[in-house]
Amino acid sequence: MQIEPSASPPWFCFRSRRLHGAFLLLPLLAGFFSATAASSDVVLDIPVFVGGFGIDFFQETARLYEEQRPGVKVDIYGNPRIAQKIRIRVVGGQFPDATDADLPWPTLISAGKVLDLAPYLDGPNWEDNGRWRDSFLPGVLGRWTEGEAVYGLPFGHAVMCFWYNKRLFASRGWEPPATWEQFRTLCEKIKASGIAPMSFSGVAPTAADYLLRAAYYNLAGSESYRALQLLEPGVHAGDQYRRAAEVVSQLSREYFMKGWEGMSHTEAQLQFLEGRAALLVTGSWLVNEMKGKFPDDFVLGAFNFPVFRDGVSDPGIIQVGSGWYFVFKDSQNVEETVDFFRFLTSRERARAFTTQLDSPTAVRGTPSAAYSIHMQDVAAMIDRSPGSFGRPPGAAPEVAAMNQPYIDARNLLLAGRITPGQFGDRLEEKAAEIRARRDQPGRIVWRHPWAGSLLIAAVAVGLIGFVISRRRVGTGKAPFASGRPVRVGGVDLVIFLGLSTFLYLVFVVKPAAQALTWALTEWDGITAQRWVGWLHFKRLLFESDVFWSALGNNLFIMFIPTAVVLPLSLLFANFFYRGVWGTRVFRVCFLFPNMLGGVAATLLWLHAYNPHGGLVNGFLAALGPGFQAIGQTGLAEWFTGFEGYAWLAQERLYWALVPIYIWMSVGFNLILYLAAMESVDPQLYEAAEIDGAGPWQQFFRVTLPLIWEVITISAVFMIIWGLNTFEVIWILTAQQPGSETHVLGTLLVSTLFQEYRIGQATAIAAVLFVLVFAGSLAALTIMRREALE
Amino acid sequence: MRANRYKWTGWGAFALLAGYLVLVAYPMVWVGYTSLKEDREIFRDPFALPSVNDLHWENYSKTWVEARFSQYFLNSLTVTSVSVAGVLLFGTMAAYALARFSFPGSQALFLLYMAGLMVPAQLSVIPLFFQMRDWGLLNTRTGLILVYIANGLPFAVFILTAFFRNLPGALHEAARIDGCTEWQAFRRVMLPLARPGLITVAIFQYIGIWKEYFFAFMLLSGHGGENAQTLPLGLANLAITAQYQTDWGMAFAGLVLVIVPLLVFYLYLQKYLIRGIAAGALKG
Repeated sequence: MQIEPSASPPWFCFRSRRLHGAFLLLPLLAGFFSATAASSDVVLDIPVFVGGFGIDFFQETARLYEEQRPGVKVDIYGNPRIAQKIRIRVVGGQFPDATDADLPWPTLISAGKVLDLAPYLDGPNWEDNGRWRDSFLPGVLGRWTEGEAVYGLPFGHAVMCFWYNKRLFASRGWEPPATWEQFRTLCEKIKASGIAPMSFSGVAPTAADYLLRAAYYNLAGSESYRALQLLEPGVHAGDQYRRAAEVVSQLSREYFMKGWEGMSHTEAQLQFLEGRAALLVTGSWLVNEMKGKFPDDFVLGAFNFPVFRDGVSDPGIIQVGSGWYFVFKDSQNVEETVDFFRFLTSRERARAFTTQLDSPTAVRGTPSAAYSIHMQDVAAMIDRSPGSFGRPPGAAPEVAAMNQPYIDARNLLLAGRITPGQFGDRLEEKAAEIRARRDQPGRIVWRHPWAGSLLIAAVAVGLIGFVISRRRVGTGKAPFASGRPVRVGGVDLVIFLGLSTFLYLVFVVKPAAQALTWALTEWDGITAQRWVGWLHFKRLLFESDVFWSALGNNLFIMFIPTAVVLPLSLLFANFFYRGVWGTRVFRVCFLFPNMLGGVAATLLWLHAYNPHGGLVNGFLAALGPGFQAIGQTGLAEWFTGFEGYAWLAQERLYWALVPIYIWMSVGFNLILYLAAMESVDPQLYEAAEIDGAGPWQQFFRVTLPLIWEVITISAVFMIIWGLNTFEVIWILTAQQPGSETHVLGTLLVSTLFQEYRIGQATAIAAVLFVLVFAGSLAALTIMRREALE
Repeated sequence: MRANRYKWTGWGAFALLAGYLVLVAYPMVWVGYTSLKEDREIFRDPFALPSVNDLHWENYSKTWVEARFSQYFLNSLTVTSVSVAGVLLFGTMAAYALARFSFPGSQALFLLYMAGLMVPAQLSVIPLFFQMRDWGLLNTRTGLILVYIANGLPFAVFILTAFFRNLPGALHEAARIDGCTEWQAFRRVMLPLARPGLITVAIFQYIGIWKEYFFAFMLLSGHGGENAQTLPLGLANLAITAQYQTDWGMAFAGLVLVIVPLLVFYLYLQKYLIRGIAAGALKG
């Protein structure tokens, strides 16, 4: 545990509250508080994103820096999803000293949380032979410059481009293209030679963004490129944006490798390295990321994105993405932190980075000899380039609001479900909405008036029905089977109920009640909380498309797998009840997947569903030759066609979940049913048998009615489980569900930690609660009526 | 008894069950042997057994040490055991009081506990997050344990009140006449009688907490939480890391490290488990 000096309450208050909690729960606490080591050193807390570059270089830099500056310790650490963790910390007000994680920086900058580096950049560099500002490649600092202030500091510098296999190209006589026309001709040649022209990851389709940006920048130039990002009217619906989208749409339609929809980005890269596809688009971290995976004779080549004949930008301009470091104003060690970054961006460190990781930096003066043979083309591209462009800064929070609509539209475009024209129109419409909301924050667009009203009415009817049925039955006070209730004194009550009720109130009831009130406010966790009344609910129920598609997905999970699981479990339970040979073994095996839990089960199936190299497709494709052998050519082709089939593509994801849910839940339900069947009086069966009822009749006339209550309970379990779905979707969508693949649980987490809209997130939670509550009450009502009859 | 039932022991039923058994078991066997292969081998032929001369045991050592599975394992064990013990301790006492004591508001308090069965974790987690932060319990095992105990109480109360209500009151009265205090009557007389209920609660809670992801994810993802993280988080970390570093072997080894101990525990206790689930179904 760490006590952050920046946390809002003064330290003594902080500590006393902690002790207060600790005192009450003393018996449980022993040994769990780890002591905080006291140390006089300044410790810099710098969590970083660890992607293709790894962490080793940065930790080495930290050690070297510590040697130069005794008394300072640099704690630099991280992992691929560090952003998620820092988002949680930022919402919690525990800022690190600096980070390069993907946070909503515009919001944080406008909230005054980020340090302006301009005064330091105008000071000396690490070598003390010039201004620090001049250490960087021309124009790079511009991205996070606002007025005079500079907020972001670039270091690792990736170049986005096309990659190809040099040996393969040389042997076939193919040439890197300069224009999109030549590019198309090249792809046709590759296709004709029997190789897929391009490998692409549909699971992490960011390469499509690079393509779209490159094409649009070339067609429209830097001014329009910026206007696009700022959501200025008419830009998205413009002709140039449509033409840029056509590039992406044509590639996905004609030239992507089969199964791209379900391939992760590393899998797409492996396909390329294995020679099953000729081209790949990604950043220059590729070489380092795939280290050790290159076949021996492979030489990587790279070429810049092709241009249009009527393109306006210089063909040599390259698309780049930098790792940006931001220093937090609340840091207690601003001087030391900035000094560390001065060291990181020194020439010596920049060269070491390039040598070790075979990747460029934003620092000037690294010779091409520092790169390996695979990176020579990229080094030359940087040398030749008159300038660069990247994703421009999200200058305003509205830009963040465009993120999800853009991702959704891009995925539809890739899947061929909308045309490039529709793509632009759709985004234009969204941009207009976002602009309108900026001008009138309380405005609601009544997009789902009927669905929203219907849901409210359904819940209301459910509640009223419950109240009425309850009145008819009586208060439902549980009878005591035997013995009178005991009258006890206050002391006994406190002993028996005190601690448990305290825990329950503090950790369940209070937060839940609080959530219901927070749902009526607007809060980003950084600025002040503001009362907005029912706005979030109105927006969710009547305006939000994402909410309704998420709810639809929840409904799918609640009912479709259940409709298979219940009959199957019943059938199996009946087999067991009738004493099929091997019952014990079956029962034990079938239950086990339920014990595994959502994370392990999902992970297992994630690998089983891999388009290439996964269990499912491997099995189905292997059936092909079998059918061939018995002369069923049609079936054989159908099965062989599963090689490379993308089960986890967005539009099929939920159907692919059905087997996972069956796998996880049949065992559990079947044991419930078996137990219920065992408790049925066997004489009833004897009587039925004497009446001449066969096994099926016995099942339907005797078994089913008598265990109906247990079936209802298990159905309610399944349905509530479906409403609470989270980790399965979270893992299968690589933590970035699209609007189409969200369930309410993942929507809540995204709203909270990616958009920082705490009020909206708690409103989603409140809706979820009302649905679970109403559903459970409805089920109880139905069951009670049946019990009465 | 069984002899009188219609027997559906035909080959059809058996074949159906056996077929389903393959579906259930083979993926796990596949994970088992694939965990000894190297990435490129997995990629080229997913079905092939690893070659005996080239078993990649380092997948395991990497997962256990580098991916810190030893730590996660220990955390999961501690968090789950302490939480289950807590739920049993507090849940039994509360259930006993609610089932047998008469005091003003007992019915309301019982309903308040029952309402907890319907509160989804998602509702309370956001304010809980801020509360834990203010109390310094964020990113600690202690914090997670307290949350697990509090969230386990409604279920425990639900199951155990049913048990306590059905116990003969005469026993309790006899104990009181013999001079036992309320506590002694509970501890010596009533508690042992509720054992089947306790086992049911313990099993359900153990399984539920062992695989819990959502609270753990929300409350242990911050700074310093790495040391407190549980197995589901570790496994998810591994899945996410594998997206960047292409280490499938490690992901498979991680799965095996989660499956095997659970399998051992499961085979050892499956009798109680199945009985517990059955008891839960009939009492509920």
